[in-house]
Amino acid sequence: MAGDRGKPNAMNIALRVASHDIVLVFDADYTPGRGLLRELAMGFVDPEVGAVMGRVVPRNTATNLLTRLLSLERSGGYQVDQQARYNLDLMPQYGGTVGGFRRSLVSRLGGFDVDMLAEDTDLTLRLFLEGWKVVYANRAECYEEVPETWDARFTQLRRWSRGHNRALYNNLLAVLQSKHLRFAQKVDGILLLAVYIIPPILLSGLAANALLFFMGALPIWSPLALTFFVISYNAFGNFGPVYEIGAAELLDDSNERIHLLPYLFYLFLFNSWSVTSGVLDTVGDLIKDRSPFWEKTKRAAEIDIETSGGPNVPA
Amino acid sequence: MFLLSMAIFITLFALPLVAGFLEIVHPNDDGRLAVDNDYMRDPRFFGNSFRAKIASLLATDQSVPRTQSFLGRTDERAHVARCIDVTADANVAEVLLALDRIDIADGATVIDAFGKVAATAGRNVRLRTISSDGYVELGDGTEVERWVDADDRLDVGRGCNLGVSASAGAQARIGSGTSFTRIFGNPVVAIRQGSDAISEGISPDFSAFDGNVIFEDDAEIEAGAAIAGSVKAHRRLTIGKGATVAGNVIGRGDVIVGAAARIDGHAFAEGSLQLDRGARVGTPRAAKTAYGTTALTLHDGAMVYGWAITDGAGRIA
Repeated sequence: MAGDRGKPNAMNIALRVASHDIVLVFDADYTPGRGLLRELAMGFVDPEVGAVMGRVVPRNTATNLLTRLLSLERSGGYQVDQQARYNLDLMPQYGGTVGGFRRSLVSRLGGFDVDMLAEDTDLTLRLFLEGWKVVYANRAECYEEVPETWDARFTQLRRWSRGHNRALYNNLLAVLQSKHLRFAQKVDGILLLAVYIIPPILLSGLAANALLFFMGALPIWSPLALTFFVISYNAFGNFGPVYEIGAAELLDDSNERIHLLPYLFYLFLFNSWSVTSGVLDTVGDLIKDRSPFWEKTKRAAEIDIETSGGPNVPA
Repeated sequence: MFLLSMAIFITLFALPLVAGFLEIVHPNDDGRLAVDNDYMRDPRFFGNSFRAKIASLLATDQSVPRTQSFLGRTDERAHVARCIDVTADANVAEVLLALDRIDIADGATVIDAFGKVAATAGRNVRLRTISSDGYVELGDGTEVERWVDADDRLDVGRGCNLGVSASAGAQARIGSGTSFTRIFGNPVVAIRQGSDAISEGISPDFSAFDGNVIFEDDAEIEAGAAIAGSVKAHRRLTIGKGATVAGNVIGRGDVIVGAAARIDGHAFAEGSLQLDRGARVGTPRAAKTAYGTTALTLHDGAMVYGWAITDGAGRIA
């Protein structure tokens, strides 16, 4: 077997090789357990289900502050966000890392778009637009390795943003016009697709505020404005993601790590810059009509090899 | 004023970070979430777990009969003997473990009963658990508080209560009027005493469908129809007499599986699930599940290869 690099290419090869209809997918850094196959496959009992997504659980949580914060993000994203979308019959996302799909269906839809860095989001949208459902199976848990360096995290998030925004460009109009989606599903679909264009908007707002301040247009040092600023900062804790993550950690019975929630504000700033870079990449892709390059997320083992000058093979 | 404002601002700015800083410096909760990679669903978990606990007590190199302490859910006393006969209306406060068989007469009350070869209970016996490496028989009106497990067949009389779980390695024959939450058997068969084999009249003029069938409203599959795929209805679903479904049956409301109908896959109902006379779910080759959220009723001769489960009221009609 041979083909170009990147997950969509690999998936298309797998589609041709697989012989049964249910294809289960795990990323290379995932360690699925014995019972996981059954948990995932059970979702396909429903003939309306086109794909199933399980829950991702970081295994290297304790490595450093970044991995701890990413663990919080994962808990909120799956335990609450995905579960709520599924329970409310909205648009749970096939995440493509621990899940599965019907081979015949994906083949009929033309396989995976090799120019799509977020082939999972794209498949989710294409399934819903064709009238299929996606199941989120919270009990189908699988360990993954989250990035341990800020550089690796930046690359990963930038790629996600680039791919996700391409999916937005490809599918937004179809979502709005779809006859298969209910109004609530359309709203959720737009929110899902637009999630990676919010950070650049917020960053633009912050930049505009800074500009106005230095131009003297914002009387920020007046007591009233200062009070407003402090309250605004603390009110950040009332934003949805923080509630979401807090609720997830309570459900997971992880009470102490909730103290790290305020630090997510700084991760958010980092994420915003990474996501904005991805948005700019997407705009460049569309203007220049270029195919994106699949930049693989560096894992801890690979970084060890690079820093030590060679593979660390026991004698 | 400026310095005071700055001091207040910095204090309030830093305040939310203090608890997190302490958690970073002295981590109390930085472990990964527990995922049991070896987890496999065991339909006979209760029985197998109990067997593991009593394995040392049943070692053949020890003298019998004897009574010794036994750590179950709490500290208890276990009586170990070759064969055990519990007399009628007796009230036994010990865990009873038989190397051969245990027989419990009518009206007795027993905590846990295990017979390596067989375990039988007469009429109106009260038990917490009963299990055997061979077969288990329960007489009419017997009440099980927790669970029943048989390595071989399980025969349950009329009007029993099977607690939270009943499981058998072979066939589980359950008498009419019995209530349950979960039964596993290969197969589970609903029995009305004295009834003959089920033979419902089926029209030979049936319809055939090649793929999946999905209904947005109430739906009825006509008698004798043959469906090669799965059937799903977003409201009430009725599978007609003698119909066959090669895939799964899913109803978002109540589901009725008609007499002598056959479903090779699972049967799930978000409302109640009713299997009429001689209806069958699953095949001898693959364990499947018949699940009714609010109720599960099995009529005479109805058969499930695998699990019969409900979160509501389970009943053999």
